[in-house]
Amino acid sequence: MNQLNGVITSIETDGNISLVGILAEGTEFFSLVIDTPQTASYLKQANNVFLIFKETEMSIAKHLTGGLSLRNRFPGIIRSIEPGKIVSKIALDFKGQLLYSIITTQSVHRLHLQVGDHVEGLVKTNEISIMEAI
Amino acid sequence: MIRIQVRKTLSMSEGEKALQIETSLETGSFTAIYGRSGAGKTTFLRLLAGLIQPEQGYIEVDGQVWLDTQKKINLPPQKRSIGFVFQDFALFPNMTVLENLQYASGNKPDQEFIKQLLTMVSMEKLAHRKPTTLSGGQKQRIALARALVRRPSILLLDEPLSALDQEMRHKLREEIHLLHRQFQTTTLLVSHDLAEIYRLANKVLIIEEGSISKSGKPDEVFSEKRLSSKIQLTGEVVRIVPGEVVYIIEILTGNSIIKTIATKEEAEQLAIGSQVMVFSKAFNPIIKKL
Amino acid sequence: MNIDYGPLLLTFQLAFTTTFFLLILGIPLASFLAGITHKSKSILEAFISLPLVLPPSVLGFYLLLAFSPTGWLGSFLERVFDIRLVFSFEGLVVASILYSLPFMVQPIQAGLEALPASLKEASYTLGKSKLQTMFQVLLPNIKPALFSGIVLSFAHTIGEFGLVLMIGGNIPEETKVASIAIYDEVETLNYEAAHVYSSILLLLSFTILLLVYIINKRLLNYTKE
Repeated sequence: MNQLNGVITSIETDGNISLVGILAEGTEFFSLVIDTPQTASYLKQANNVFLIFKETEMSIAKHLTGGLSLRNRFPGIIRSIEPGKIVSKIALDFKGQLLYSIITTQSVHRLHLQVGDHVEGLVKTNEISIMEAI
Repeated sequence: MIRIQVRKTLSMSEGEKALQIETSLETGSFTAIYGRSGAGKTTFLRLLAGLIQPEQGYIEVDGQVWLDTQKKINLPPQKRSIGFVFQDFALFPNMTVLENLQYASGNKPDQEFIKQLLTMVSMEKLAHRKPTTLSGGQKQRIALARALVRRPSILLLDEPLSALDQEMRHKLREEIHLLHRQFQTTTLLVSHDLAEIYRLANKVLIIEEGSISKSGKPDEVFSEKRLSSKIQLTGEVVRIVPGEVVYIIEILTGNSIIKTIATKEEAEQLAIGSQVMVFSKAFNPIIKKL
Repeated sequence: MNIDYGPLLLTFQLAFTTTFFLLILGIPLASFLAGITHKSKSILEAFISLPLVLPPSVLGFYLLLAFSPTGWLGSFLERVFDIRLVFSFEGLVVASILYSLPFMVQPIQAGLEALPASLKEASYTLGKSKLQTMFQVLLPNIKPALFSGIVLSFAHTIGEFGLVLMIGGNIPEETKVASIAIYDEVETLNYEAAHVYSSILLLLSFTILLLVYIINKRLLNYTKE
């Protein structure tokens, strides 16, 4: 799993669902959770938390233009590509932190991904879990 | 109803420590005791059995007082209606399987019941063997059957499956489950096997630093409250299928096997039998009416 | 040649009686020692083991003083029970019990200590008393140790000399055991009789020890099965 340390900057709640903004490595991430500050004590402004998301939930974009509903976009440099027949694992250097993405090998070829490429990592808000850091 | 309140000073390598436990158990319930080694789990069972004495305490089992230090009541182990299954099984090597059970049964052995028990643990064919000729799993079955011969009020299991291999654990876990369903004996199980606790117990007591730190249903007690993921399962790794980039991990949780993928690095941290928590966001699963 | 087999008979009589009482005394003593852990254990153990290192004449000397009709114990026994322990068979039995005590207690204690504590505890939780547990669970599982204790005590009693001489003297049919008889015959230069006694004792001791090793091996294999 990918893990990033961050600080809660905003919490927007409606009913039982909250959209939580978290600042990690200078980039703002968003996570959608079925919790509110009333049901989860760690949902507090300025609280230190971990963002957790699975490798398979992180997409890679190259030369991305136009609109996109995805809220979590962050720049990175490809450090390594471990190719498989169906899927490949890409290590993305995000401000010194290595994040991994597992995407289809076809996509790797289609985007001509290579070590050293400047790309963007993408994760949907509902794929990011929050864990209290202690 | 079983009411327990005991206090005992334990002398450990790191100094003296107080074991202080107060709890009550429903008659017929199955309670697991979970905690780090040295937390006092086994001591707690031995206090209940009367094998060691607390400095202060009160134990009442189904209306009968076993221990009341204030009134100076303290029944010896012989007078307490218990079945104790020891970690090393403690079968008597000089007696056959059948003789072990008959010894437990007393002066007028209830041959019918002994036969029934032996059949239930599938040991009737080996009734005339000496314990030293049996495998670990077979020994454990006999130890269980022997502990039940006297129809005890409480069955105390001290890490009964820890000496067995993974496959045998599975089988015996089911047998313990069946025996409990059949006899409804109030049972206390010391274990640090989460899968075992989930399968068998309807209540779990977590002992930390000599006292109960948490208690409740296993899923309540063990679920990770600090995590936002709404789908959290605990289970046991039963198969690891290596692949080029990703590995497939099969996990037994409850009665079902779930499959999930992991990176090679994650898979290398796991082994067959590892206890794991699987969590996922609430947004992915799709629900279909059956 | 006229050999008096009385001393040999007396030797075996003494060995049997001593071993019998030692067994009765040794089991509870050994189980007591196996069960305690505090400091008094070492003191008791050292005391019981004294005959292993003490010259038999030392033990004999003190017993002679104690048993003597002018000593407090001797006079008490004589007054109350009409028993005299010096220069009598009964006295030899009492002295031999003390003398061979470690040979009975040590193997049994070691055997009991080697058994896992859970055996005893399991028996208790199954409602069995300490006595039932001892006879039905513990002792049957230390057969090799019991056997060693019995045979070694027996053999050791046969081999007594100094102690017997000190408190038994040399009274035919009462305290003149084989080892004393040999000494006696040699003193009077009757080497032929000394040879007979000696060879019988030699052969017997060897046979006993051989049996111990053979049977112990079997018992051990049996319990391992």
